[in-house]
Amino acid sequence: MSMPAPLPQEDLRPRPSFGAVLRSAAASVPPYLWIFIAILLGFIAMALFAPLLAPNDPTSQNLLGRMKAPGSVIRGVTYIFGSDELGRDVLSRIIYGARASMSVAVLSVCLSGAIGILAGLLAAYCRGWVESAVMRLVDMMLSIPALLFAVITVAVIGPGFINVILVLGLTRWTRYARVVYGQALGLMPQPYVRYARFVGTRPLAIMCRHLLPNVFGQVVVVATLEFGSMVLFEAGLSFLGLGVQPPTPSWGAMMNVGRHYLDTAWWIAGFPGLCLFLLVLSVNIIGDHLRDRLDPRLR
Amino acid sequence: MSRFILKRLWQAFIAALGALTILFFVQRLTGDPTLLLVPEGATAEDIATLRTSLGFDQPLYVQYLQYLKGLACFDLGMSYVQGVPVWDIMLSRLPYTLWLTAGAMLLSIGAGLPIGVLMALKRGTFLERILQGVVFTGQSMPTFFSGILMILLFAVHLQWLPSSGSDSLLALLMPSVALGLLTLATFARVARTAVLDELGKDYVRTARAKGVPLRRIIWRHLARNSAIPVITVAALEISHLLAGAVIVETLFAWPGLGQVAVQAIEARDFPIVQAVVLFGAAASVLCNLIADLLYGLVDPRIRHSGGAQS
Repeated sequence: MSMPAPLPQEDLRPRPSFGAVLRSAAASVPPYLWIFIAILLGFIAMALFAPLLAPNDPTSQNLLGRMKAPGSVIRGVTYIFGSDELGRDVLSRIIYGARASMSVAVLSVCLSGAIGILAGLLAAYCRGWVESAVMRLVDMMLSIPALLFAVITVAVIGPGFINVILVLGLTRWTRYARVVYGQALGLMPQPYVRYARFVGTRPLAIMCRHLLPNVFGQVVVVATLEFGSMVLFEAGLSFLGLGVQPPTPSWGAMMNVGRHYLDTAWWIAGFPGLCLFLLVLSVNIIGDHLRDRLDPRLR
Repeated sequence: MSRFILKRLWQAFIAALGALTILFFVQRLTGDPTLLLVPEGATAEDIATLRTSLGFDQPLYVQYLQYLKGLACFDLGMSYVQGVPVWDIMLSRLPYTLWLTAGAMLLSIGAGLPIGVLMALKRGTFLERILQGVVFTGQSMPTFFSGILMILLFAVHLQWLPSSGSDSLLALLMPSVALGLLTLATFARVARTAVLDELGKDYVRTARAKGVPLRRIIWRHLARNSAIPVITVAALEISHLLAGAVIVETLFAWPGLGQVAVQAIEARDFPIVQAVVLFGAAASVLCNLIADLLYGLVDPRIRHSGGAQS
């Protein structure tokens, strides 16, 4: 007579505290990644505490101190990164420019993420004509070169902080929609979703409580990678004069002005470009690491 | 196969039509373009006359139908600002963008694929780390920053290359590299993943066990079997290149479609803007269609099942 299988034991160990989870996550971060996390945190701090960190007023002009080289001292004011064509402090403008870049990127990622998640979940849940309509719309949006579409739309509705966020949010939701749709479609035949439908749970509740938590890891990966793209888009639009409008500092606009003075004052375009590169590089490397950890296909 | 091509052509047509429809209504719903075209101090009568002559007094759906009717006859309209047919402007600028895109594609495929293959073959080595650094740099470098760095080095300091213009092949070099850097990174990453996927398969292990040289395994087996994701990415990247051309052409004063689009946007010359988007969308869907057809050539399983599996 064989022994009956033992009953599963309830795990009585205490649940790990938030600090312990954080420590174990930190332990799995490779050492080189800390450099890029530090760079990203540095830019976030720059954006949050710009008024405290900026040595000078980013918009105050000093016509006697025009295009001074990095390290110059004019009337007791040190221009660590030099001054621009109107005698404004490049370092202070870069610090305030981080604010424009980060806020446009964060808000447009939130907006496009929200639209994309909703569209993807609706398409996967409702199927039929809703699915066809959403996915055809995604195909159409994807057939227009994204930056060109953003440039044209901003040009038509007018440049500015809010408009740039709206345009980026409304044009870049397709990637989220595709990922969420693909993932949610695979979840629909799962027993817990079928049971929820069977007992009459409302569609919105099924989408929010059962589908969304299971696709969220993927959404975070897409959002991280999209954040870098959004920073580049904002800079690209500002470079073309369609982004955040002067006198508010923006890295793209600074580079656009600086390119006319490359032979005499390389720092006007050089330093904002370097910051832009470092920010996008950090976000891409962190996003890549997150994808490796969160994407089930890559495990 | 022909049924598959027809189906893909129909889907491509619908996608391009949809893209144009979105653009048409975005442009029209944000206000009357007439007000942007009249000079300062124009009377209400002048505005009304211009509105009637441009057809903006018609209901929106009539304007849309007229626009579609024109497109069906390959009529892209007249430029509001320059007063010449949009076709003439597009045809005069298109070759420059084609040259630029071809140069960028050549660089990104020519350098990106070998880098990706090398990264896969040398996985876990110091060389892979270095190449990964190159790829991340390319991926994170905004085209206008790499362009500015190149202008500083090669045009301002060394004076080897012209900083702008389109007179010679030398002038094409910097814009192509600036535009191609981003796609180079994408190709390298895709090639690395595709080759890594294939390297672990039985046929490669068997070939290695039989003593087939690595070079032969790469060219005879891996190249073809890793081609599908590379083809997919090549088709998608065309769209990125066209978008990137807008900035690169502005930076290097390269007289292609990107530059004409930016100028037309500044002047509110909508027929040109619409034509540029039409060309962009058409190029994008055409490249995806060619990619679908190439899948069949590369992989007989797809040819026999009658379509590409994404």
